[in-house]
Amino acid sequence: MARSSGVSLEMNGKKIAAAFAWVESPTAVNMAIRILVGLCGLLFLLDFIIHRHAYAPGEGMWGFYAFTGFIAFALIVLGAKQLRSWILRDESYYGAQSVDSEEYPVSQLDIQNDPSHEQEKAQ
Amino acid sequence: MTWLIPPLLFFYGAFLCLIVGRTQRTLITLLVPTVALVSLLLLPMGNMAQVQFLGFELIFVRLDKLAFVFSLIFIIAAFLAAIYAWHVNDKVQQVSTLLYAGAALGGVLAGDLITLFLYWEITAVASVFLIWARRTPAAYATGMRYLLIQVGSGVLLLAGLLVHYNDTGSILFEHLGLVSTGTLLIFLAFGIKCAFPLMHNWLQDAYPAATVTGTVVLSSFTTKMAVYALARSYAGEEILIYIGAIMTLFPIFFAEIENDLRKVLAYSLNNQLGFMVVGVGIGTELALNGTAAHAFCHILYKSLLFMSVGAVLYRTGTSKASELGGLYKTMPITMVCCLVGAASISAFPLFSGFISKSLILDASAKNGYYLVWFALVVASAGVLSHSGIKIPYFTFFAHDSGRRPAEAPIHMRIAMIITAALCVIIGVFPSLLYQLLPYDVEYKPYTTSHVLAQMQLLCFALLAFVFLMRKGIHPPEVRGVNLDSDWVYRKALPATILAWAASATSFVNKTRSSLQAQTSDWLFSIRRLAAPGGLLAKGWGVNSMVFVVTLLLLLVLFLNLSN
Repeated sequence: MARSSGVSLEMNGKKIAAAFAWVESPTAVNMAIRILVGLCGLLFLLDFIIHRHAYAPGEGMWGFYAFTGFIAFALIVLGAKQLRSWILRDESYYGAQSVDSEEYPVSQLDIQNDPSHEQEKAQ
Repeated sequence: MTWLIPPLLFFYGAFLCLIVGRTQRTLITLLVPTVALVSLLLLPMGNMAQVQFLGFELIFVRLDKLAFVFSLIFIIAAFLAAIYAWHVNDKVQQVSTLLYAGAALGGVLAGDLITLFLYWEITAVASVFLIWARRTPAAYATGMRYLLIQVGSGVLLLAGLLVHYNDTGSILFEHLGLVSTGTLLIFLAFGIKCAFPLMHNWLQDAYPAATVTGTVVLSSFTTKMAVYALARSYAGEEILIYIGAIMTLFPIFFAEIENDLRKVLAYSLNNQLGFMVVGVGIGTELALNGTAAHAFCHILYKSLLFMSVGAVLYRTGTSKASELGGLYKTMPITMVCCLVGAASISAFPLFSGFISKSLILDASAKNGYYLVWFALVVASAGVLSHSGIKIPYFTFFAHDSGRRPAEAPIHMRIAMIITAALCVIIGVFPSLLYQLLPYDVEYKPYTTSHVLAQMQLLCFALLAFVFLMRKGIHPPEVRGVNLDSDWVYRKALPATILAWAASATSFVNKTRSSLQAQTSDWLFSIRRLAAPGGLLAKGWGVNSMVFVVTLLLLLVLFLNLSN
C-alpha cells in the first residue's frame, strides 16, 4: 500500500512540476506580473466601493493598506541591504566554532539526484 | 492515572528507546504521542498528580483550557516530527526528542514553579543533544553555547523562585506580575527562552546547527513553552507589548539578508514570537486567545517550513539560498508544501496564520495601542518578504542552480502533506481552533474588511518585491555570516579579555626586566666597592680611624643635644 501511494505521489509530483513550468518562460512571467498589477489595481479600487471597518486612526483612509504594504516592503528590503553592508562577514569569520564554515556531514544525509533528469542530461 | 499523565508517557518512551532495536524505536516515537493524546483527552480539568516533597506541594498536572491548547499542539508537533524523522536511526536523537517533548509538555502542565523549574532544565539538557547529534566540532561548540544560555535561564528561574517564595510563601505557577525582584528574575528567565531582543541570539545560533530532523523538533517546543509561561504569569504586563513589537520588527531585517534558510526561519520564528508576546502584553481575553491561537498555528506552519527546507538539505546537502534554485522541477511536492507554509505564515486568507494573527492585531487596535498595531502591520509585510517569498522563491525558483535532487523521501512527504493539510483546514474552518481557545470570545476573521485589508497589504507587498527584483534593487543571496548581538560574547569579549591579558603580561615582563637591570647595576656597584682596591677593601691608617670615631661621637653628642 505504501508503495502504491508512493507511486501515485510520484505521478502527482510530475504533474505539479509541469503545472509550474510556466515560470521558465519570460512571456508567461510577464503575464503573471501583469495579472498581479491588475489585481492590485482592482483591490485598490475596491477601497472606494467597500467601506472597510477601521479601528485605528488612518486605517480607514483609502489605500492605507496598499501604501503601507508597498512602502513597508520596500523600506525593509532597502534597510536590510544597508544592514548587510555593515554586518556581512566571511563564512569563516567565527572559524571552527560555527557551523557556517562547515558542510553538513554527508553521512547523515541521503543525497540523491533525480534519475529521470540524469537521463535527460545524458541525451 | 497519575502514572499515565502525558509527560511521563514520553519519558517511558524515551527509556524504552534506550533498550530496544531500531524498528521498535521508530514505532515508539510515533506511538508515544498517540497514547499521550488519548491520555490528555481523558484527563479531567483541574489539579492532579500532587506530590509532597520537602514540605512543598508539587502539582505535576494543572489542566485548564490554556494548558490544554498548548499541550495538544505539543503532542501533535511531536507526532508530526516523528513521521518526518522515520528514517533516523540514531538512538541519541530519538531518546532526546522524546525527553525534550515530554519535558516541554510537563512544563505546560506544571502547576507550581518548582515543577516548572525541573522541566525547564530538562528541556535545556535534552534538546542540546539534537544539536550535538550533528557530530561535528562546530556543532559541539554551538551546543555548548546553547546549553550555557538555556541552563542560565533555568538558574535565573530558580533564583527568582527562591526570592519569590521568601517574599510570599507561595510556589504556585499562576499570575505573578512584575512586582518584585523575584518576579523580575522569573520574567527574565522566561524572556531568555522566549528570545526577547538581545537575549535572542541563542536561537539563530543553535537551530541551524541541529540535525535535519532536530531543527523541526527544536522549533516547536522551547520558545512556545516560554510564551505559555508568560501568558500564565505575566498577562497584561504592558512592557511585553513593546518588547513584542520590537521582536516583530528587528529580526525581519536579519532574515532578509541571511543566506542560510534555516537561519532565516529562526529569525522568522523570533518575529512570530513577537506577535504572541504582544498578545500576552495586552492581556485581554481576545488578545490571549490570539496568543494561544497564533502559537498553535505557528507551530504547524513553522514545522512545515523547517521540514521543507530540511528535506532540501537532506537531498542536496545544503540549505544556503545562494546554492539553491530551480528545485521545483524535481521536488514539486516539497515545493507545494513549502508554499502552503509560506502562505500560512504570511497570513493569506484561507490559511492558518490569517485566522490567528488577526486576533492579536485587532486586540492591539481596539485597546488603543495604535503605534504597536502599525508596527505589527509593517511586520506582517516583512513576514511576507522573508518567509513568504524568500524561502520558496530562492529554493524552488529563482535562477536554476542546476541541481536536480530527488523528491523528499516518502515519510517526509507524508509528514509535510499532513502538516500542510492542517494549516489549510484551520484556515478554512477557524472555528475548529477557536473552540479550543482559553476564553469564549465571539470572533469572525472572515469579514469583507479584514480580507480586503489583508489582500491589499500582501498584494502590494508582492508588487514591491516584483518591482525591486525587476529594478535589480533587491539584494542577491550571497554567502557569508551576518553579525548579530552574539558577536559581543563570541568575538568582542574574548578579544577584549585577550587584549587585557596580553597587556598585563607585557607590563609584568617590562617591570621584571627593568627591576632586574636595576638590581644588577646595584650588585655591580657593591662589588666594585668591595673588590680589591675598592673603597671598603683598602687598608685604613690609625689617624683616619680616630678621625672617623671622633666624627661619630660628635654626631651622637649632637643628637643628644637636639633631644
